[in-house]
Amino acid sequence: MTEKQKSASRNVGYEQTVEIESFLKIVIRRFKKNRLAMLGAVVVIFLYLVAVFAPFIATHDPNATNTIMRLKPPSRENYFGTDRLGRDVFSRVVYGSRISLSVGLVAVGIAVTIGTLIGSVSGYYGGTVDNVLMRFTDIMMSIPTLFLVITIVAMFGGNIWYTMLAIGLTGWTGVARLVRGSFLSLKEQEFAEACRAIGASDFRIMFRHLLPNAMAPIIVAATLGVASAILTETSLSYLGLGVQPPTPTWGNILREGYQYIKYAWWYGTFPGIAIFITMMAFNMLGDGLRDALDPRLKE
Amino acid sequence: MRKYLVRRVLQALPILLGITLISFFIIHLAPGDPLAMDIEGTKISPEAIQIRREQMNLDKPIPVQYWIWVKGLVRGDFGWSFQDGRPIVEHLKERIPITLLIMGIPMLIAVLVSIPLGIISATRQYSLADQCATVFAFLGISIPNFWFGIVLMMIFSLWLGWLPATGLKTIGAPFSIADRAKYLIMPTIVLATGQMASLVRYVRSSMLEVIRQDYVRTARAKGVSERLVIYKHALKNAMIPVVTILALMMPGLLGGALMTENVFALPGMGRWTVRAVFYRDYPAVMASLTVSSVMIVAFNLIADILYGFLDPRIKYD
Repeated sequence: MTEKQKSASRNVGYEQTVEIESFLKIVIRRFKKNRLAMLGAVVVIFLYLVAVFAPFIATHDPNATNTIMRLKPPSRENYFGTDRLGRDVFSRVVYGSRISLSVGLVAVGIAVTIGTLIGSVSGYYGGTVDNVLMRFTDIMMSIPTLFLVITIVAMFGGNIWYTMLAIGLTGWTGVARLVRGSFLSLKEQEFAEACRAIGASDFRIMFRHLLPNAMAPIIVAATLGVASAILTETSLSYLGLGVQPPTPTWGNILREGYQYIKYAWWYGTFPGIAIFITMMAFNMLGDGLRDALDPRLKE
Repeated sequence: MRKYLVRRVLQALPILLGITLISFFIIHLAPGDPLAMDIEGTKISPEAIQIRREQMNLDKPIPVQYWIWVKGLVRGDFGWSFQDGRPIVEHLKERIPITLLIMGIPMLIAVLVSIPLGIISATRQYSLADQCATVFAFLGISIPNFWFGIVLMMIFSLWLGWLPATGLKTIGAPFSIADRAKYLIMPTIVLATGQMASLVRYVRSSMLEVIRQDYVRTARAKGVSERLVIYKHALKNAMIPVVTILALMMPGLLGGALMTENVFALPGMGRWTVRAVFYRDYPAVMASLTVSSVMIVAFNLIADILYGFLDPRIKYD
């Protein structure tokens, strides 16, 4: 028996499962063909490995100061040079990846959860509920994100948790609109009607039956969302508002580097390149996923 | 048309009210005290602090404070800055034009460059030019604007010495366009790059969708020249989604302006806002959030009106 038949016989009466599995295979095959997207995926995995294994990769203690070694250019001993206190910039950039990458992931997790909840309730129930929730979404969309985020972080305090929360709580509007749009058309389809006919609860219909069919655009939005969340986090740190020194973040190393721009080009350059590569990888990955998940593009 | 405009402005009012409500409560519910910075380490008597608090209306319940703020706003009064005691409106009058300039020029350049670039990309899909445009778009979207600014500053100000690094005018020199331009080149490049990069992609995909449609084929079949088909028949329809994207890009552009102003020390809204949040200057932060949101709402309104010109199917009544 082939893979497909097996899953079909295992799931008699649940055609939906078979459909999803085979679609997933198509997506993976399409994705593998896209070289830019694969590169993005490999770099993203690499970056997370660096963050997890930072203690093994860093060549120095990121917070160990050394007054004799202040502002030394890149060398075999200090790959990215040293900073104003003689700390190793390479090790600080390696450790800094932990902040940016975890803030990106958690903030997007928060944003996608809120956006999915608001969008699905709005799209499924319609009427007044929809109206109220969408006006609220309009309001949140009209406040420029960075202005709101710096206000929240400055008022509540600059640690990693508030940074994640602030970015998550302001970043859900796009997902809410996407999910609402999908739900508006999905709830009219036969399978949703069939669920209602056999007496499934609203909660079950929304999250077991409709949501899986609305996942593709959510996944794309989430991937691209990580890139913009990381940009926001590094911007905050750069302004001196996010995670505070001496904890190294790409943004606050860059901020210090800016102050020594005349004497040490390496100081701000390397954390900047790290941000650039990360953004690039997530953007390529997200773009590739969009193409791979687009049902209109048939081979 | 006029009726439609009036209705849209009226619809925007509750949104603006909601924005101020959310901003106000975020700012005022936060722990901490704007007076803490003044008091720290000084020997000000508790009575004096109490009087100051009353002057700043900080002793009243938050809803009452909000009501006082809204009443002021209706008269065009944003209150006084906690930092220097000057009316916020005076600050805004100085800062808003600078920010609009910093945002406006790059946006104009981005539109002027990305439309022809996107068209070339779409009409010669997968050509070398198209691939270059795609790579440029990825780079432009991914480069962090503040770092890009610093790199430009390092190259053109420190190493080559061609352009001034920070500020908006040469101190002591009389105002001249040439002088102003020198200071605006780098901030403009930074913001225009990001804008162009995302716009090119949208113009390209929008154009690709349009040129496959039947009416374009009909135009070609009639013997209309390729130039006319693209620039007259296809472009107009391809522009409709692009206008939407332009409006959606506004919050990002404002954020970009904020970062750019801070890198290049430009005295606009963004730099003022960052200083205001550090000092817990409540009236200034409120004014900044309100004004920047008004810009976005206004821009959405302009986009809606532009639809009318681009798409006669939309009726305003």
